[in-house]
Amino acid sequence: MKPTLLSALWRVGMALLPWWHATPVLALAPTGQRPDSVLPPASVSARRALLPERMAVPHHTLDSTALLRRGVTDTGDALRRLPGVNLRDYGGAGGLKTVSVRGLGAAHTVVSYDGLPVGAARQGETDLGRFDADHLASVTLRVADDGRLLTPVRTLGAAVVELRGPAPDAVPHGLHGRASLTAAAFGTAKPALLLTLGASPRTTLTAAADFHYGRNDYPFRLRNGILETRERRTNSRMQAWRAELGAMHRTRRGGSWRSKLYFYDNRRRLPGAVKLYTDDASEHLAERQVAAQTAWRQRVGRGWEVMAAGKYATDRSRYVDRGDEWPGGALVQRYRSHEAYATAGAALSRGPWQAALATDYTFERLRSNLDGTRRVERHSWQPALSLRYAAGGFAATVRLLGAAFVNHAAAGQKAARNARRLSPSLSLAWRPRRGGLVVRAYYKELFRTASFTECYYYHYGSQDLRPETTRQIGAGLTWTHGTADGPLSLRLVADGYLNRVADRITGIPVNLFIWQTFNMGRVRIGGADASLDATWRPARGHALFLAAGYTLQRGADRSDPASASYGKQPAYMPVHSGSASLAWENPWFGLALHATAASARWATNEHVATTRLPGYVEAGAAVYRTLHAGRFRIDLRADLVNAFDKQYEIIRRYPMPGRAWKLSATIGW
Amino acid sequence: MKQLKTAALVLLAGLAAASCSDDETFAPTRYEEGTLGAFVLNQGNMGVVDGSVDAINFTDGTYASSVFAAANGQSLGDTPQDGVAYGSRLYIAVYGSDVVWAVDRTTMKIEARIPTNDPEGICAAGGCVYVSNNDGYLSRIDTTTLSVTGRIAVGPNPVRIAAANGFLYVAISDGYNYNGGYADGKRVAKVDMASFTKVKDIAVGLNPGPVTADAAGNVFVVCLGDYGATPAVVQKISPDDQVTDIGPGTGIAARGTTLYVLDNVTDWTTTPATAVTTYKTYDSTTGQLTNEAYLADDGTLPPAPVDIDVNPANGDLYVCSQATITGYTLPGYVYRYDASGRLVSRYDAGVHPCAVIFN
Repeated sequence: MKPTLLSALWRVGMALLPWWHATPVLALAPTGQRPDSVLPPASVSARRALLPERMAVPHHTLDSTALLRRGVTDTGDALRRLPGVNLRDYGGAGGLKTVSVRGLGAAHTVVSYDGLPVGAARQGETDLGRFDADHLASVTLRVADDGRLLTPVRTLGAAVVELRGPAPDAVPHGLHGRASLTAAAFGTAKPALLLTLGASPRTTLTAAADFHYGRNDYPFRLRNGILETRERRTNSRMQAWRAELGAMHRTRRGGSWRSKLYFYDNRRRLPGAVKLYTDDASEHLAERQVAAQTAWRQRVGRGWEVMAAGKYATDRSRYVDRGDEWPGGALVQRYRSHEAYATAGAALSRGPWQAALATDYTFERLRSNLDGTRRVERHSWQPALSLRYAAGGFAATVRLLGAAFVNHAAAGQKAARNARRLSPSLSLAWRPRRGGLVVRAYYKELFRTASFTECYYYHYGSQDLRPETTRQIGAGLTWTHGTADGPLSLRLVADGYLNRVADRITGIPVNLFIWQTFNMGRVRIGGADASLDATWRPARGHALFLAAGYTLQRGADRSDPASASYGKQPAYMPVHSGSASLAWENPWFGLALHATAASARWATNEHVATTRLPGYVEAGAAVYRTLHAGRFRIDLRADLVNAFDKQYEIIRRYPMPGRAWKLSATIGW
Repeated sequence: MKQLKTAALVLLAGLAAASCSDDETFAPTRYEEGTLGAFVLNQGNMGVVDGSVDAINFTDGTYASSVFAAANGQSLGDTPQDGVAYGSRLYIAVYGSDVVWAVDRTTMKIEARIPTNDPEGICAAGGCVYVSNNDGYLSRIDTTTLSVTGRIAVGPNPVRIAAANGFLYVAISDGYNYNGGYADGKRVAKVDMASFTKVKDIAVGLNPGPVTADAAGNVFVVCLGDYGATPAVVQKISPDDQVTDIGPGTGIAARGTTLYVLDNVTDWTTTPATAVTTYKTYDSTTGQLTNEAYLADDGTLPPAPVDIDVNPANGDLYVCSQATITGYTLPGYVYRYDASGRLVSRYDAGVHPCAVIFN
């Protein structure tokens, strides 16, 4: 009935997907020599004993070695190895990838790149697919809190995915480089170059560039009742450029000053959802971002530390869907966003006490060729006061985050509702005197503001939205045994939690034709994560690395007892998921075997009978070897992805790639 | 015995179905529509829930879900929009899958898969099936070869089609030009069936969609407005192309000279949202309101009606409804009322039932 608008709507629904490609922002790592108050994230591969305050925070890091030993092949793959993460992957190199952590929803996941937050004002979610795992130094997930007391306020999200770019912290004097070439199935070629100059003992200059070309036209099997056909993804080509210029200066007393210029350009076609009986994908998306930032951090006086950072980013995106159904033969949506960001703060340590005060200011502006978002702006002010007491084996951290948002819109457009919030959090950790055990608990409140799309998108956005709030409570333990260099080391991390999301911002149909956003829903999620990392060195030159993770997520819609989704597991959230990998390193090569699995999921909140997605197990293998020739180091790696050619979907009608190969060679000097 | 009789009828109908290009005045032998049963078209949700066809059997009173999939072992496709029973077949326009299915009206077995881009509305007359394509065309399907034999441009985003007086009336919505105020729509294209050429545009209200014709050759169109300040209104196009307002309405059906008008207006400022729904009848020749509450609010009204259809054989009214106002993703219902407005049955339909086609 009333098909035109309805079909327009689902077109728009489809088109909304690419709009979720959010703004990445280049940041600069404020940690040079890492003063005590700027602790590095606890790493599953960390070799040093962990301090309680770091272990108060259940977080997980995959550094480049861990990414290798686990046979991680792309960013989505890296993220789904982390416990508590629920990945939404639209498949292939160009497919949108977002993560929801512990059932909170992807919009609550803050992504930071080299220490500063990545802006996502337009869509509210960050497409992690634009960060290439092959060029990342590490991927960290933090849930409860940040181990660092003094940190940019916007990086204190309900859940934080922290990415580190390729630039190293420090290099020896002189010019060094790393050049790599990756070739993979489905027409993928990725050359990359990184140059570092140790200009002085304290100053490092970095230049990095990489290119990614992929046809992404992978085959898949389409089942339609008794029919099963071999199909291929079409309209899926992408080419992306990325370039970075960086400078890092380490000051005396463990301070640092880092600056960076960042450029990113991605032109891709979007294959869209698989349709039965037809293939008429015709969408294009071109994105370009330029960002500049600088950050400074310094210890001063007795027990003081100060930090300041600033960033400017501009992002253009152009979405085109060609077709005679659109006026003028194409739907063209142009967006241009600007973000100006500044943060500053100071921390003081006195005996067992530490306090930090930091404040962020952000200005975001979005312009487009669409009604509703011709020009909209938001000013945000976010201060945070943090206090920590750490003595003996005990640490307690209290934070109070404030936030005020002021919205403006061009004449003729009602501005979104302004908002103010106070969000407290508390985390406790205790390490008994003996044994490698740490137990911890936390309570945390946070919220997200509505994205510009949720506020303003034509016939969809609402200017009356309130922030969507989360409350998290959890407890867990970390147990370590042995040291990473010893014959046997173990690290077990286990956490249980109960999360609540209230005032959830949900798009619901206003009538057959129009959906609109409302603060409608409540969700309750209970779950548990566990991860085990073990290293065993049975003989000289031989080592086995086991990594296993398990995630239990029981979600329930608690919005309206009369609704069909009430009490049911939210769409696309598996109850059980996990991954395991085993690597064997010997004097000749390294071999990693790995598997990732998720139980059945529903594509609808109401669990409509035909929308069940079966569970899956995907397995793969990697072989790697390092050669030395003079001053050159050569790393070779071959991957077999999805070895058993398992056909599955994470998002319905977006098939994941089947069996594939990947080869890479890196030469460093 | 009954099956044998039906089979014979089908055979006859099949033999009689002729191409419109052979003889435009020829109409194929057909059942008296609405005596055997009805098909319910469930739109589903793009990419999540496939479309489906259910069947109501008037003889034994049964309701069978997903009869297309059951008969053919494959899905109907994505977001079907409209269907028509004609001759021995049921034709279903499946928008997202770019296909019109021709299936046997009795067995539901596929007879042909007819590719056509973005089919929206469908209508049968004079031995042909006509399909509006969302990319601006009207396609003609030959019912003997079951292939598209002609295509003419009619205007941006055409929606439903009605046949009357030897013409086709196609609602031109310009629905994808919502940012431009649907400026190139606001009209009904009038197409001469014999020559398959567009004769003229008839100016109507904002965003026309559903179209139907009465027995006197009047055509009625629902102008859906902009879902905001401009409300939905029903207009009448007389055989001499004079346009008059009938009254507010979001859905229409016609039988003889009775026009059934559904008006469903939801108030989203309340929590939960509330809807005000009326079911009125008009004299389709005079435009006079004949019954202000054809279906009275006695507790049996559908919760979120999206479409009405009337059985040409006996005047039973069918209302497709979502399960709740916001139940767009849920299985919905089809409510059946007899000619006196009394609820006869409520059928459990698929996700988002959108049309009833009489068999």
